[in-house]
Amino acid sequence: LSRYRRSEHVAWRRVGTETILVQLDRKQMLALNESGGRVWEALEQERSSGDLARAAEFGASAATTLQHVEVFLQDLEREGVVAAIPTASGRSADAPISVLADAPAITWREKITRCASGCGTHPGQSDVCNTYPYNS
Amino acid sequence: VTTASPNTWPRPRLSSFTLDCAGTPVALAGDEPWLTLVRGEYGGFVAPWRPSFTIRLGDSADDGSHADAEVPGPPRLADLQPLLRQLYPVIIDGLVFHAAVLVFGEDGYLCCGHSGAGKSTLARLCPAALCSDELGAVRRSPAGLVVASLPYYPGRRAQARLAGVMLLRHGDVDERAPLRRSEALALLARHAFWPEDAGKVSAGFHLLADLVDTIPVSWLTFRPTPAVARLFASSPREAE
Repeated sequence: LSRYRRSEHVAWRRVGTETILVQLDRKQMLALNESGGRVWEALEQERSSGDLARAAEFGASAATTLQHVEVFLQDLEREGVVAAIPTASGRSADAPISVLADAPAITWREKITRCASGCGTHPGQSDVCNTYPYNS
Repeated sequence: VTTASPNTWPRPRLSSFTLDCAGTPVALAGDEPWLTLVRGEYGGFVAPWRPSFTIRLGDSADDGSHADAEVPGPPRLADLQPLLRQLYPVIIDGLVFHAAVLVFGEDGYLCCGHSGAGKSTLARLCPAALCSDELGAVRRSPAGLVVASLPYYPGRRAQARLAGVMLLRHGDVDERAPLRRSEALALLARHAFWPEDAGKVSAGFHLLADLVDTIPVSWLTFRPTPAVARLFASSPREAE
């Protein structure tokens, strides 16, 4: 089983039933559903996907849960919020799985930008807006 | 007899005045045509504070004094405004939003919307409450979150307890519909001007999470009548 840890430069909070992460380098927010949030909280320490599957608890068999959690962790790894730690036995291969309603998942993504969307003034519209405001 | 070269002649210091930019004192310094223009626009934000940041306007009266940022050339608000948008997220201790700021009594409201969503219409319908119809900031205070107006278009300096956040959308009825907290966070993130610095992004994110945890965030649809002000009196429960 692969082992995982949280990446550096991630801020996160529980908001209602969801867990919201911000990947500070990529300037992107991710929302995790309830079981995804449980996996994230269990990642307070480095864990194997088997440990994390036990934390997910969404009412599927142990084998199905493990399969979903591994796919979920690979999603999180692609988003830059967790890092897989290489093990001697290598990583399990991606396997297509049917999506279960309560399985851990990313529910939305939101890019955060310097210019508020719809503000009517974006970089490129004027020379001043293209420059960093401080004098060097 | 020695004559000082023109480069060493003493020049008068630039005139300046200081604006309250959501608690951060920002001086605008420059030649008189520029100052006449910006005093007319931002006179409502003038504060008797010592500036922590100085913007020099124009280039004819450069006296060599320190400036943190510059807007050269003839007086044109269109040259200053983009700088303000870029600057506020960097220098303000809080999160800056593309939003109108309305204050009713001691209650402040942040009203976010895309261009054309109704910020200026709302501001026109509630003239006594209007503090800014383009930019506002949310900050922490010992008493909780506060909302403050920012100079961009004419307005007035104000800071008040943040009583509610509205997301404006077009509709045929006066209605305030609460949002789920995570949905509110995602939508408000789109209306914020995020700084580049990762530490400030993290601080802004936690401020936003606290906001949706503690402050009602609602969709606001309204007809263009003064009756819309009544929607600011109540704070509907969160839809969770």
